[in-house]
Amino acid sequence: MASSLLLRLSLVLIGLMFFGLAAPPGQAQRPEPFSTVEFRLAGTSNVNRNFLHEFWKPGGGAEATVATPFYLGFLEFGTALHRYDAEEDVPGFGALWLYAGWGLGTDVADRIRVEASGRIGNYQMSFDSGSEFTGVINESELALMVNTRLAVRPAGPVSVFVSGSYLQAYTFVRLKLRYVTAGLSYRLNSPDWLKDFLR
Amino acid sequence: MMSMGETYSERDCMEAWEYGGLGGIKSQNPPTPPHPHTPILKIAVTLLLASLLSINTARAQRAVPSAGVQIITAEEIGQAGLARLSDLFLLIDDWHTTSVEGYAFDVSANGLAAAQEAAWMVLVDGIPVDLRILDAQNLNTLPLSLTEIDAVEVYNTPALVNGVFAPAGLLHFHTRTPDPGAALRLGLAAGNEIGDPGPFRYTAFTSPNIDRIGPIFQGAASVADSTWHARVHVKLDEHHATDERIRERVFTFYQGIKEPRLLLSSGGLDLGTTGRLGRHNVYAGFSRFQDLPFFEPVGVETPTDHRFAHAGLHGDTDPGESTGLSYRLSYTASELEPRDNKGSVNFDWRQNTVRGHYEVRSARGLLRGALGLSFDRIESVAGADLDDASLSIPRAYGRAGYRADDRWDAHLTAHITRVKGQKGFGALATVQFTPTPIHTIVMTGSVARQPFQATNSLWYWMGEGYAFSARRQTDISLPTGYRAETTYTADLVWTIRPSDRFNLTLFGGYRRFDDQTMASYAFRYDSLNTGFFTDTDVVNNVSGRVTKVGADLRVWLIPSLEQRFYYAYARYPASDDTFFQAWRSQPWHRVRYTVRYAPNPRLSLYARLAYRSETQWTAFQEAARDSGGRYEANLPGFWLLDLAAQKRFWRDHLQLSLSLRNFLNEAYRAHAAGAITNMAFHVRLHLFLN
Repeated sequence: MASSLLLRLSLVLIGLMFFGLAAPPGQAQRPEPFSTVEFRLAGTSNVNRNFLHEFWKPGGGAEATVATPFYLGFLEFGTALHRYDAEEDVPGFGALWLYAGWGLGTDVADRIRVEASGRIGNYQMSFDSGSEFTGVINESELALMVNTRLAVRPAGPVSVFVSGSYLQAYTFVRLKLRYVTAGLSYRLNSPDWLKDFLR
Repeated sequence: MMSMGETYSERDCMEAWEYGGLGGIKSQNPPTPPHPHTPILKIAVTLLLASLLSINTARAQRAVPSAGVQIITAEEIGQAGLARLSDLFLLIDDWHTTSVEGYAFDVSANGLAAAQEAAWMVLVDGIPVDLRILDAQNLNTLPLSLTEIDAVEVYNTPALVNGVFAPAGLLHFHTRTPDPGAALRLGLAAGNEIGDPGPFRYTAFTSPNIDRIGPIFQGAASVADSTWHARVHVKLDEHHATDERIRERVFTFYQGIKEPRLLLSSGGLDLGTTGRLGRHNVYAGFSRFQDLPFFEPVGVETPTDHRFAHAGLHGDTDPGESTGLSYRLSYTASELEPRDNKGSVNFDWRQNTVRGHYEVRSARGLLRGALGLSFDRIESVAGADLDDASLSIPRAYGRAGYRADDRWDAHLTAHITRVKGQKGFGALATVQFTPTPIHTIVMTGSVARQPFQATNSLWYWMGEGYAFSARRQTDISLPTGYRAETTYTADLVWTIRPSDRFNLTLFGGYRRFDDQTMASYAFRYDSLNTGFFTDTDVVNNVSGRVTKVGADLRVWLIPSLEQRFYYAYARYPASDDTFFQAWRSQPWHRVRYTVRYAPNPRLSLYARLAYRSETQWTAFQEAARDSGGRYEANLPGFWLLDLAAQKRFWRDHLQLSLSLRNFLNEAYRAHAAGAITNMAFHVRLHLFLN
């Protein structure tokens, strides 16, 4: 039920993004590409339960993201650490999610912004070493994620945000994971050398 | 070979396609799509002047105007996120490919020859490169880095280029002209096909591991000024042969310490001068390919170590304003040695080839022409004595062109040869008619009679006494004699271009094959290793026909957005069982929809949706019946969606491509004995420093 709600919320937010983009010029000023860099740090937690969770229990996680305006929308690059402890006779594992993403965002009110993005990257799982488990200790797989974010900027360049995301790792038995993430972000103007590099 | 700093552009390509050559039409500007306000008259005049200019200045000896030359630029290669040379086949519309493991491809170029013959040819800057060995040809073994490609001309009709007669398709690679000063180009690519077991490998729900694709490393370094250049290039690549459908077969013979992989390394160098005396180049290259090819007569993968080396020189000069000379001399050594295996299979095969070519060309008024001689000398070395280990293929040819006015342009090419007493000849005629600036009609016809010896095929050498050793049941039946093969082709291409935003091409083709020598296979299932026992019957009087029609529509709604719709329908009548078996593994229907969107010069998005209709592999009928569903003789049609995004950084020094192939995740099989392929993710990073 929660996952269905998240999906609907994502669709509504994506719709809002497009309405926001379709607004007449002048109502919303599009930032210059790569003009700013926003650093985000957050805690993240897996909130759904499915076949995977019959073997592993999700632990806490952390996420770090860098975002910058693009020609249209924004680009983001990031990494997240997810922990899964063994519930059955299997090794626990930590997962490193490295991704690049693109998304759209709009200011829905003064100091409040909503965003939706798609992410693609590598989901690398490192299994706990133990005498009873032998063989491969790392596995990598393609993963896609849909992410929605609500940010409030109380003052200056600092924002607080909460996001909901759905990740699918394309293992033979798919890993379908939903996360809720909350954290802080800090935005600064890009130095010229960085703008020159990115352009 | 182009002059310093010259590059192809998209506009060049469109023009070249219509005028059949690239000589003289160059631009240093980045690719630009048609501008909606460019006057049509201006384009037509520019094209005419440029193509007339090319008559006297054509140095790289582009082919005479011909229908059906597709140009693939470095820009498009980057936008599509290609990682290997064989990925180029994804962009070639009229060529059909199949692959067992996704690395080596059986290719049929626009219905000009069956895929089993591997008769298509490769040129690099006008130099023929003999990659083919024992009827197999893998484009990835070409000693050429993807980073060094400037453009590829794809010939879809018979052609004579630089003295090389290519009756069954030709890929002509044009390398980048090194930038003045010192330059370094590095490329790194890797991919991953989905479907790994992930954490479930430790549960009862585990599944086979799917290995990564690559990594692929490519690099080139060069120094140059306006009159000379020197360049070295290297390439390292690997590909895993661990798909569940082929894994057990691979282990029939393979006995390596590591998981079975295909390992490729190659390198090369070229030195060139440009000046008043013309252009002159020397080059050398090598490749080593530790392969695991599926060899039909043996019925399983056979570990081989293919070593290839070539060296040569070539050049051209214009002693008079309207005359030109060109020459080429090359040496190639190609051998198959055993690779890590259980001592059970050995090809013990080596070929040394010397090729020479000399041509004189002239242009006077509306006429232009060329006369040339070429000579190939092939020496084969095998474990067993051959009846006659050498093969000499001399060829004389002439080429004439006549441009009556702005509307008519005609070319005729003819050649003769004689191999071991058998005469051969070929003739190619092209007529281009432009009744209005909007309409262009190109008609091409050819006839070729090729002595069987000139095919340099496995069956010919087996007739001369060659035999491979394989500790496995094989049954090969050879005919008592061979006949000269005769092929007739006719192509019609009608291009309609009412505006710069719209380009429609309608095309049709007909091929007739007489007295072809082809292999007919019957595969029986070997339950011990999931491979096959093969009955191979080589037949020497195979005849058949191929007909093809289609349409290609390009639309630019806005200058930065190109959409392309392609459809082709090909038919192979079941007039001859052997012919039908060889050709029906090609689909009747092929559809492609390609979108290229480049909102600015440093960002592009690319999408290609392709459909291939069902194919029949009658040789596998018995194996399919007995294998309990492991193999199928009728492969269903499938849709593939490939997506790619490319961004350049650091003032074009860095080029990053991300691509998703088979995004619809259709579990498709392109060969009856082949792997099942799912969605795959590729990353490609190129670094350019100068």
